[in-house]
Amino acid sequence: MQRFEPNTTTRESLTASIRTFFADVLSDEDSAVSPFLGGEKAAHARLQDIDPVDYCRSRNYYSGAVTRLSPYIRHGILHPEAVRQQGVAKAPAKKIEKFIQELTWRFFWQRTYRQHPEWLWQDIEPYKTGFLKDEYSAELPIDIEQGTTGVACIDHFIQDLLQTGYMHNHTRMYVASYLVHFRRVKWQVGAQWFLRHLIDGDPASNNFSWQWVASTFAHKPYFFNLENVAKYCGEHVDCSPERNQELDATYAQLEARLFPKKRAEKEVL
Amino acid sequence: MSETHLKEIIWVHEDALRPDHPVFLDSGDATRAFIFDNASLAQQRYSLKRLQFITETLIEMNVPIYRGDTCACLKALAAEAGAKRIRMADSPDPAVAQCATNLRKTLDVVEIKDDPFLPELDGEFARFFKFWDKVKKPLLT
Repeated sequence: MQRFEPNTTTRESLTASIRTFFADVLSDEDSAVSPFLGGEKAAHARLQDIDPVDYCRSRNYYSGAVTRLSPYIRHGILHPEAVRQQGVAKAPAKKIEKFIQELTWRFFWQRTYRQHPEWLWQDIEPYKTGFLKDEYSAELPIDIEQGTTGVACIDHFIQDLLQTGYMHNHTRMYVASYLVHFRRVKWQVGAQWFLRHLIDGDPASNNFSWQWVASTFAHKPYFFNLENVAKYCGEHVDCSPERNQELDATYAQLEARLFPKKRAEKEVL
Repeated sequence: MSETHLKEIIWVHEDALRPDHPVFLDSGDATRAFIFDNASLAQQRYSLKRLQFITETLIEMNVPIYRGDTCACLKALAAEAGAKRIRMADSPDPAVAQCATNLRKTLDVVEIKDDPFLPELDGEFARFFKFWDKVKKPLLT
């Protein structure tokens, strides 16, 4: 048993202490420090600033009024009821239904986790993609791990993850879908990778969301095209067709390309 | 400070890092401890970002931080403090439950639930929106 007594003089000295204490588990490349400060004070400062009405209007946009409270809720630093109360103090509950609904998603995932802890890493249902689970790779491609896929928007979102430990929820879905459906990698591989980096990494919310994208906990796979990314992120992220060729297609074209076996099954029927 | 408080260790884990969580209620000067578990670190490979966020939170809470095998650390801390009981926040994490089971072989273990966000509801819901329809009324008032 080792006692950790970090140097807390500055944030930099604390980081140096952590790097030393955990030197055996941190790689040399792992040097990014999250802009999110831990602790209750930072949590309450963010809580004061939320705009639940704007959240409901703009949350799907990259620069939308998302609260960024998830790291604090995940660690129990903020109780979800305190967040709901802060919301309803700013606007009537009926006007911020989506805001309250998103808090409830977390509760739903936690409840599911308690009822079925074995579901955390197992496929809850088969993939609805036309592929069997063994047709998905069990390795994280190095270009994805490093954010060098050559697909500009995906690389941008991965760099958000690697540099800050936080991703906008919509971009999590894009990256998860890209990994599972465009690159055909098992969702478990991506879920583990996210949990390594996300400072709000919660096993239930993270893994069940990956299963939702993969279609092992949903009626159909979640996939997207460049037009969708451009709509929600285009002002801040490179969504040019020439630097995102893999995504530049209609939904019908992508469905045929990503799920050819599913299409063949439909034609037989 | 009561005699009971002297004989408890509060196991602080990453699901309950709030000073007013019920696990800390009326706990007096009971010894508190957070343990970075070696096996979990090796398996989960938390990044510097995650380790720093958790560490900063613990420093603000003034919770001593250790590293090792969680169960062995808690047993050693209990022996050192003459404690017979581990008090811990409830968690859905099977690893936490497994450690609690192990501790119960030699110590009294008390799990404290957080205040509920929603009342308990029977049954399973395979999809969120069926669940939402059942629970939304009190949340939207």
